[in-house]
Amino acid sequence: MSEAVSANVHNLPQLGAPARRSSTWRRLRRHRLFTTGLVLFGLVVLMALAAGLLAPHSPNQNNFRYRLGAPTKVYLLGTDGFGRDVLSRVIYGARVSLRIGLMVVLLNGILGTLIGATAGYVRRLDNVIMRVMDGLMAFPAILMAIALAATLGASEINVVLALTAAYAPRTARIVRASVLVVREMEYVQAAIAAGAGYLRVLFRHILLNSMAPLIVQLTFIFAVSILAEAVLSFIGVGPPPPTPTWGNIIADGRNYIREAPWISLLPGITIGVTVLGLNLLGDGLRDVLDPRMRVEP
Amino acid sequence: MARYLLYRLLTAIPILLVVSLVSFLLIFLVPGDPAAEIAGPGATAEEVARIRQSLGLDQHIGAQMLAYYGRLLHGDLGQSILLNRSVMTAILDRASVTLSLTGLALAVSLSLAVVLGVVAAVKQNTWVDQSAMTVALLGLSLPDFWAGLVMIYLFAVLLGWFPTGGYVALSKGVLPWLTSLIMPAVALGMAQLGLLARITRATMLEVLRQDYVRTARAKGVPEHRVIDKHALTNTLIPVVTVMGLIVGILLGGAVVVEQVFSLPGVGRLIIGAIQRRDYPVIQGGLLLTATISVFVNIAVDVLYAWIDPRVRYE
Repeated sequence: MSEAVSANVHNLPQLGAPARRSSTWRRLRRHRLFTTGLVLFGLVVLMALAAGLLAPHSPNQNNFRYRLGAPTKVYLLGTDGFGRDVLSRVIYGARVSLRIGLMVVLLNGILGTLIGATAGYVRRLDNVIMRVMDGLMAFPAILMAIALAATLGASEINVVLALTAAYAPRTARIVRASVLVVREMEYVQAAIAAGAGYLRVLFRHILLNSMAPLIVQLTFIFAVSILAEAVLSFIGVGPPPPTPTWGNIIADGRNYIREAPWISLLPGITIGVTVLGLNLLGDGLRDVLDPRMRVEP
Repeated sequence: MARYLLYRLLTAIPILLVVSLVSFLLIFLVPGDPAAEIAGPGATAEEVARIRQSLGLDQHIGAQMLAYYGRLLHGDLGQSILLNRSVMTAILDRASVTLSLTGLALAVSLSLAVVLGVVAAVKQNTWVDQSAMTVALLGLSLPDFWAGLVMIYLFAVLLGWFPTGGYVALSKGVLPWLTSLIMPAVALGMAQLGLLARITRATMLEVLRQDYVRTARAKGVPEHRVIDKHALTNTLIPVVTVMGLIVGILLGGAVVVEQVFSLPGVGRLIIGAIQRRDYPVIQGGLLLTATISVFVNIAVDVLYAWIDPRVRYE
């Protein structure tokens, strides 16, 4: 999804002065999809933050006498193959998924901005950098992330590194496109003519005004990172057990799909709600920052 | 057109160089000794040395790279350590399953997406539009492997309409082949359905505001003819441009969906290789998938240039 979105978001206009930012926020608050997304995603964030209060059991506490137990008053969403409370694991799993998503977004933002800004601003390096990025983007992102995570070894940090490597070239392309547009604007030319330094022009005048497309892109990167982390955990190259992640809870339930379908049900719905919230947030940001790209009329 | 094709093929060379280099370097990312990792904790020093030699890891990196590119030029992706056979043969043996799955997923997502997108645009701002776009958003948001598991539970375990997994070759009949692939194809194509439906709707809305559509309506052309004949053809052009991208995403997604539905395709081969640390298969699978994506993108670009001649002159 992010690839297709990335093809469009580079056309976004730039964020401007504080007054304009506050007007942007006012329009965002009035945007129905954005607010729906904010509420959905906000609920998941709250669930992750308050996991200790909300979870009725410890996520790794076994009750072998109640393995694959159906939902009851004690275990609201049943238990898994080790007799662990599914609801508590899903609640704690939110922490891992959101943490990984956030780290991928941060690293992607930094790396993508550095690479994209260098390619867009330093003309001599543009061709070389972008051909390397094209080569990296030729790999299906999820396959590249799987191969990297499997090679580096199953751990949370390796999942973050693998997903960053898979999605950073796409972010770099967005930033480069935006920098190429802003670079030619009159106020940038004026800053150069006034004697502003190379780095000052890049960071103060170009990058600050290229942030809107990056913000939209990173929202979608957050969404695909949550999905991709679930995939990696599902196939066993995510954070190792017994750490609860939405992907490995679904994988645990896969073996008992006939006798205990509830194990896989909730984590999938939770992933869906989280990603839907982020997609709506991204749509809202894009609609408000660039009405030409509106999906919602 | 031939000149444009040549231009696109030439631009693919640096991309393929990066793709091959990344695949080559993958094994060097293994923490510690890759040969020891493959051999496992109980292996003897001789076994580790044998694996190191068979992978060429006992040579200098320059020599390894030369040997690697030499093999690639002959279409040789190396030897699988655990299958004890050529990686290329192992992949080709399973390619028909993966190509069937991705082809069907593309067909399902494209056909449904065009219907959803067009209906949503024509019925803009109605409950039909909102329902269609909700379906599209859900498709984009739900994990494909989870949707596959839910489908297995509903349509295979509870209703018994489809098998829980496994693949029936096309040579054994179209219906059994379709029955074995329809659930995996829907699960795999779901996200692309969402993406394509949104693109179709947005483009259709833009096309419906064009002067020539207004002219056709003013001339009294029936609405269904305006949609079918005038608007739809132009709506499909942007959809064609994202096809190359989508094929790449589907090939990547097939890795997990094949695992869920126990389909003996390339994806399952790669997952098996990951679990058993068979790096030549991982590298070969990665390289071949990326190469296919590159050439599909070229084919789509050429198709696009054929549909819209302006592209050739840019």
